[in-house]
Amino acid sequence: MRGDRVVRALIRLYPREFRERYGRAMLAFHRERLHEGGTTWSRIVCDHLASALAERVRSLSKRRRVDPTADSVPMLGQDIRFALRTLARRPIFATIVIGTIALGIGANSAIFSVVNGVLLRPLPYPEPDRVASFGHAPPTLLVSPPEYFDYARDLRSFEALAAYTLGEGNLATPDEPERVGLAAVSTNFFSVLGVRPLVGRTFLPDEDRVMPATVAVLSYGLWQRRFGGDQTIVGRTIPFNGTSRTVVGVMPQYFDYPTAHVDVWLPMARFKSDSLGDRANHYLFVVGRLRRDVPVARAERAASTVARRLMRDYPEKYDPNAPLVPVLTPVSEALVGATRPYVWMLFGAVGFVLLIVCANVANLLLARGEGRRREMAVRSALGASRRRMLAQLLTESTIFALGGGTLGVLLAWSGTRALVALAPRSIPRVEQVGLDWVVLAYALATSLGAGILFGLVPALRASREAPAETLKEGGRASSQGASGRVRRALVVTEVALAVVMLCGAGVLLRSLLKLQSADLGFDPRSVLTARVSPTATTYEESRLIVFYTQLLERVRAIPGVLSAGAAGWLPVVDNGGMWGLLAEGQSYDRVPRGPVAVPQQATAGYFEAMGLKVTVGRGFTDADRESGPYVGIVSRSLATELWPNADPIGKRFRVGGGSTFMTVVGVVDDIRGRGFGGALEPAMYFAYPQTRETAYFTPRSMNLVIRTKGDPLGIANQVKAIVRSLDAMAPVSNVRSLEQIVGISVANRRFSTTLLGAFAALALVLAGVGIFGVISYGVSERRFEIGVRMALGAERSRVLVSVLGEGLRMTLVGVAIGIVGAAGVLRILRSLLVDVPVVDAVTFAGVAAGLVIVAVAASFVPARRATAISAMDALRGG
Amino acid sequence: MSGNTDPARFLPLRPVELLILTALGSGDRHGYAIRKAVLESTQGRVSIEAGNLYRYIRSLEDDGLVVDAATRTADADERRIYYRLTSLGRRVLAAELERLRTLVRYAEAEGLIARLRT
Repeated sequence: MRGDRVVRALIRLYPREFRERYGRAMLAFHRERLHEGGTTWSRIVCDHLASALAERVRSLSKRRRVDPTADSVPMLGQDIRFALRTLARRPIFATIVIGTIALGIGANSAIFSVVNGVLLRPLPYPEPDRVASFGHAPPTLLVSPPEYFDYARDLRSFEALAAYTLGEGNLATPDEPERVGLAAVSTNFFSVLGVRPLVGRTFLPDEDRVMPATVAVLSYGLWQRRFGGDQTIVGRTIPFNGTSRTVVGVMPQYFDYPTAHVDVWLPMARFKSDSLGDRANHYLFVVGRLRRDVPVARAERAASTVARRLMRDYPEKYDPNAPLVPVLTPVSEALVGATRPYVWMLFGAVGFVLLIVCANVANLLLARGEGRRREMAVRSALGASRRRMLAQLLTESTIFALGGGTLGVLLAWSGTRALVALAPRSIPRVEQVGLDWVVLAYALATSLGAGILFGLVPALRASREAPAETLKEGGRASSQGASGRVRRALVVTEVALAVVMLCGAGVLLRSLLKLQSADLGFDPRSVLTARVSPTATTYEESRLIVFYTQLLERVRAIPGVLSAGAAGWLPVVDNGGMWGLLAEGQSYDRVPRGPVAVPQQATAGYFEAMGLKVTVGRGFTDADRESGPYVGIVSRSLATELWPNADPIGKRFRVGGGSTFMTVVGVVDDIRGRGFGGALEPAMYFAYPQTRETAYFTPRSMNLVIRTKGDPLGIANQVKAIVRSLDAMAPVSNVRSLEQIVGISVANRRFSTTLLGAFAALALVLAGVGIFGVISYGVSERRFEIGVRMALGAERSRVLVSVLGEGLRMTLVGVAIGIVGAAGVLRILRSLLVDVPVVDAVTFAGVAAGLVIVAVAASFVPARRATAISAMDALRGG
Repeated sequence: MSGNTDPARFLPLRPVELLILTALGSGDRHGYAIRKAVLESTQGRVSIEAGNLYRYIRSLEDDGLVVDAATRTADADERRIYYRLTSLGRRVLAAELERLRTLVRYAEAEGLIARLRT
């Protein structure tokens, strides 16, 4: 009988005594128990596991009570009391040790809380590994509606695909108009992600028929912020983007797809058969839920097959030189992929810090162990077993570890809050970072692990002493012995680890500086930007133009404003695509093969405010009116591409079929529209009043760009007041300086480089303390020897040099090992480096020099003390 | 089991101990029969498994409230052990039930539960 075997195995878990007494009876019990219906094996197994464990504990503690001489649990209480008494006798030593551990554990737990919150904690969707975003390889990137339909119909690898677009909208409540992020989604969007609303419902399948959509789903954040978490929100109407929408649901707090900035979800218009025609219009984001057991790679191969068929079926729509290549990214990867290497790098760095801390503490304990050799010898001679002494020493180091760990968690608690406050918003899920039980468990585990790591070597050494020898020596120790070797090896390790961290921080810092020194093509200093969004229903296009003209006139009148303009998008934060264009007299057989450029709608004054240099001709002026003549401005690289050997001024170009030709009146510098690290891109500029004719449409929301004499943020309130006086319902959002905006493009990198630098500095200090400790201890042990040598006529300088030399020797060995290690570690981080070689001679040399200086400084104080040893005192044995 | 035989020393009993002693109050039982009696007396709410049951029995045996009934009934399976209340066990059970009765009466007098009409 199978059940019998299982039960027999379970019974074997109990202590023998219990087994012999009740084993057969329990077996008989189970014969009948298993006939009883509704048996759950899990219940039986859990019962036996718990009972057997309880019995084992009981029999252990009983045995201890019987045999008081054995190493036992009651002894633990004695060990703890003894250890606490010992610590209390040397409070400074205890404080240094516990403080050092707290630094290591604190830094570790704080960074682990980031690892946990950003990388480890599962995404809040059911089976998140089955959710993948679906796009195309560059330059296509997104998906066009007909392609979306073809993929959704033909791809068996997906249970369902959903599409969405991103945008912004005006929440126009009278008290405070606000610009919020919005996502227009296909009605199956929420079910593809598998997330239920917190309140109400999501969209019904036919709610995409009526446009503009009359229903909306709100984010938890918006619901709390603007509606006070009102449970009766469902069914209420809110004025959003010029239409009243009925709130049908609120999403849970954790739901942040596609981004944390989305506050309103609206149904996306159902594609009509005529809109399906535009196969080249790639503007949809697509996300899908894979069928169970279909790996991403297989789904991607299947999608590629469909894409190849589409290219074959519509040869006139696709350029064979830019094939359609589907790219599937698991949603976790899409969300945190770019952040991952930075987070792991920091986690590795704090791991190094912890190792250095352990080495330092081990050193301190070893040094103290030397001082306690006599005590140990006496205890051993009185009959304490080796196990007994080892247990006592490990108890001490565990107390250190737990004390330091507790303090470290407090440090981590404040550290984590500071991290979250300082972290750039571009780090995904940063709001998820905090101390939870996973982090606490991690802190406990690392504390205990560290306790064993730094406690074991000193404990083993101390308990291995031969008592007779030690007592004969009179308890005098010598650093020339094995213990001294161990301590020097620990310091060499510390130095090597610090070198690796400093080299890493150094090359990353150099990468950051290289990146930031790139010429953006415009001057971000002293520029204020703000987004103004007049409501759709209240403005005709001509009124929009008047609105912005008046607005800019009044802004220019603010004292301290040097120039002001407005544009459709801002660099870095608005990721615009490129538009195709045609120069007059040139033709291309297919649109994808023609020239493309970044489009920008700009008012008069924009180039001056941006600090964008007009190299040939002129910028826009108020004379470039709605009625024409139609003018355009091109960037330098676009001019060279379109008219390689001619003066571009006076030439004409246009975008797309229906729009009007513009005459080029000026050429400006290329800019890095994606910030530091981005490329210089060709761009074309349209005069804002003419955009309906020349650039398909007139953008409603515009970004003010205001160059000021002093602090740009100082005039923010005046700008807001001017907008309000012109239109009380137009929200002003994203008020920030242009420097803040371009900073976003390197925010992650700057943040993690700063942190790594701080950890590296900590490592350097700890290594310095380690060197100081060992040299200083060595000097005090060699008092006698040094005293004799000085008495025999050794010069002070020679003593000084010999002590300094000892510190330097350890440091140089450590530096050599560290540089080899750094070359290896940095190879892993290669992807994060910009224009800096892995083995960067400048950085490495600087780090080596820095450590030598630290080593000399750390050895100098003990060296000076050595030279001050009086021969008489030393010989007297003082 | 001489020496400390004052039933009050064992009070209050743990709930499962009380249930086991009550089950044995009406006659000797083996382990599985105790489980069934406990299930019955609690309307199926307390379902006790082997490991837990025998741990309680061990502690009750050690305290001298329960013994291995040496005489078996005619149909007894020889591998089964039948347990029997000792006289101390019977007195402890009675004392515990008496204690509970006092408590119930007090609660009734205070109006915490309705008085049972008989």
